[in-house]
Amino acid sequence: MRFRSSAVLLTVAALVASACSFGGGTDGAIDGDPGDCVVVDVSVSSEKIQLMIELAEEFNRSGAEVDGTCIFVRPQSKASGLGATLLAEGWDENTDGPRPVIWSPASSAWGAVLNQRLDDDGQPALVGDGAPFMVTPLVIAMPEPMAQALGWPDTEVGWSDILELATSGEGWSAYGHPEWGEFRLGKTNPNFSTSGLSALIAQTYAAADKSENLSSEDLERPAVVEFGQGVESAVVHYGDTTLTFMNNWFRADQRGAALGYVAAAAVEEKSVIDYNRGDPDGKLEAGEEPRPPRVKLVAIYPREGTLYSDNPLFIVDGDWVDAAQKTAAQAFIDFLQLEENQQKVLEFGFRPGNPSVPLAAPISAEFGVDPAQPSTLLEVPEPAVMTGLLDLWQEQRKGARVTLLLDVSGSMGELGDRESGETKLDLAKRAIIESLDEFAADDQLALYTFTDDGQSTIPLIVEVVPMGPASGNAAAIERVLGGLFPQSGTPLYEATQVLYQQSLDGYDSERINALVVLSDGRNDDGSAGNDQQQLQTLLDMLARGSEGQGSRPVRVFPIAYGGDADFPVLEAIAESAASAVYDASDPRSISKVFAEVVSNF
Amino acid sequence: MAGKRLGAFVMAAVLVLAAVGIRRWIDSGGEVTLGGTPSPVYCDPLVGEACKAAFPDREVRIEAPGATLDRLLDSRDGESLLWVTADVWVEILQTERARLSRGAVVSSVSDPVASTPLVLVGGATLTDQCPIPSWECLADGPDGLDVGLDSRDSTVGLLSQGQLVTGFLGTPTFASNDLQSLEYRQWRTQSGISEGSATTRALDRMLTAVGTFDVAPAALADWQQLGRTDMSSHTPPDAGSDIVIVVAAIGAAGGSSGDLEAELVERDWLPGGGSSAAGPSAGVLEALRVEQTN
Repeated sequence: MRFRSSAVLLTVAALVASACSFGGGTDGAIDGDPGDCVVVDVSVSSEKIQLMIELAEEFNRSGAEVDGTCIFVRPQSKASGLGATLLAEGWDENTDGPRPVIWSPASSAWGAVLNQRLDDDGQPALVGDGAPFMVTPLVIAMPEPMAQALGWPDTEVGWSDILELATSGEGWSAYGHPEWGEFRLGKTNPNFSTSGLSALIAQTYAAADKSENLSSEDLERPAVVEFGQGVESAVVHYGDTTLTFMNNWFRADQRGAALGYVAAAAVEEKSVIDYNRGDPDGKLEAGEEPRPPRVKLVAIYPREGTLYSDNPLFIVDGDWVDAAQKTAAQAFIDFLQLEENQQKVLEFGFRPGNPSVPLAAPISAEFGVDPAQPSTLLEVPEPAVMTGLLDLWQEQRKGARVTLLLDVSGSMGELGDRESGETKLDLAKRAIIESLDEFAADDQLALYTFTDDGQSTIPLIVEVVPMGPASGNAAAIERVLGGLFPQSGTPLYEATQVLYQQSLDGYDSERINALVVLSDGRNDDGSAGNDQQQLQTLLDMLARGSEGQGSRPVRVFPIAYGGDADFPVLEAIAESAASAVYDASDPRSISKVFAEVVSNF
Repeated sequence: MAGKRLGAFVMAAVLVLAAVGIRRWIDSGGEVTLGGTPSPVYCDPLVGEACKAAFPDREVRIEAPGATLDRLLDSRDGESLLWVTADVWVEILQTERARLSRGAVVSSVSDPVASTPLVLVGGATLTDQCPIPSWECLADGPDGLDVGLDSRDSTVGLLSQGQLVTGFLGTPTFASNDLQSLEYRQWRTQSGISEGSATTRALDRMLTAVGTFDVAPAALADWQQLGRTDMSSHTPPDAGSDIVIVVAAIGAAGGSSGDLEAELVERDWLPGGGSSAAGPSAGVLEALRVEQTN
């Protein structure tokens, strides 16, 4: 579960943590005035923020004290990698929220990453051993009929079956279901997501036919490389969070098309439970009713073995944490370990970290999971091997064919950052340039802009850099971006439709095909009369293209940029294309958001 | 001996002071005051004038109920106030605090003080496009009918949203999941319905800037107070429950609803509760309130 040695974590740390620094910001939090209480700020990974807030609220009401002073626990959500980076490089309370007294990433591995980075900088460790708050294993989620077609539950299924499905050329025909078409896999980017990282480790162990001691030599074996390439070839897109897959899957299910989106996704067991409860993102919003899916997902515990996310509770040994806060933090951790609270962990679909609390519902077949599994656990590789794994993934991940469509309407000339004086267009250009390094050399990349001439209703769609390998186009894009300037209207619907059609025409089945649309406003093409018809045509076109086995899925990732972006329309576009919308309503967040978008490729 | 006498005297003084304090607390309706100042009364702008008249001796703050709700949802420090607003807002507060695992802040809610129906106000264009003006007809978005709605942080605005979506979905018993469907999103983006700011009612805009809207929802009592005859109010056949005003005590706030009922009745409200009908749940209304529309 943890790095066995921290000797060579440096590179892994730099690679993983810096990449993960884009993987999400602060979302949920407890607001309110702590008064004169001892404040315990808790930074937790996003999947457990809801539970942590609930428990913190209870703890705060319980009257717990340190030397007669009340305790006020204040959780905030922070992606694990981002937390590691901030703790290692400097936590700015103005932009990143309060520095944590307790840090709870998804996995202990992040604690090792943090300490190694600090060690490399000649600084003392910030975290020791963290009590596991709760655990959840990585599984391969599959619609039940598809799992059954593979012989589940009588036959154990594993990564080698995934490989076979991905590479046989027959897809589901080989299993008697030609109507299900080719095999499609959902898998997150291991540089951003703990699930993605765990899946990469697990599939590589399977390729090496090992459950421990994965070595750098193993990574170089042609069979291991081929195995990885084969699995990755079935990926529909990557991304920073598994929730994108779960939400799209659920929406498809509600339309009766659960078998037409992806056939499998590497996620945590908890996500399968949430999905089968009818709450795919694990968070019931106001007025939301859990509605069980039409087609249940089941958790496949790969027969080759899997890994746990152990959600450690680290008390941070920083100079901003005083003795009273440490005592208060320990009191909260003790509270979290109480049996009644560990029961709550169960309610949220996790397995308790307190061994005295037995597994119970919802860790049960009713919700598609098996409390007796996993039967084989994998060892987290040595840091040097981790580095090698991530390097290897960069080479073997599925290639991408991406069109960037940039809004250069007049409003892009508005101030985006009051402090720096940069316009929205300036910030967007910078974000694009910063993201270019994330593309592999042989990814295909193009840049288009859209606006109109302000006089007619004809959209002005300009091919700024034609489709070509990123190795050459990245520099070309960086060069021409400097010459772009804000112009006139925002023919959003027509420009998106034209470029989507173009992406379809150039569809490459060996790659992730995607269109990234960055827009800061509502559709404005000088003719409002046909807007609704245009939008309807676009949405129908996207929906037709993203579903069905004969489809050529081009994923459209809209970015709602600035406060005037038409978020509902962009969200509808994303959902029609079975992808995800990204919110950059604060223009200053565009670099972070753009990096999240690019994590899909 | 002297020590005992002194102790008895101190004890007696404490008891007397305590008795006086308890008497004053009872007289104030069980209200905790700070420095002798009663808790403020937060009033929904819909009943703002009546509220001021009903609570002449208290600090009355007129605030959009959505803003009051937001503060009370986050409240952790035992804020005390009286909240005069439509019953749905109090229900949202209670439901949402429970969903978010936050402690209850509503200590009591009065019986319904007064009520009035939510109606559609419009002129000839409304009845041309919707011969029987209904929420379903508005949701269908007939060509040439400009619909104006109030801010979702207002009572009329929020209830109108609930009714409009009910009209679109064809059922009042929907969940916020239904607001995620593609069909709903498409309808939202294409309905062309305008939503007003927190400070300007759609009804006022329609009446003062002719041509802005053809129809706007309103509280019937409000419309009647205006005394306009150039447009008509219509009670939709698919109307939801009436707007029902209550007084909620938040925290340790106390006090009665004073002369509120009389003041509202004077302003064309009906005493007590009104007609009730199935409608969206409090959670759904909250989802509609915070729905990202742009």
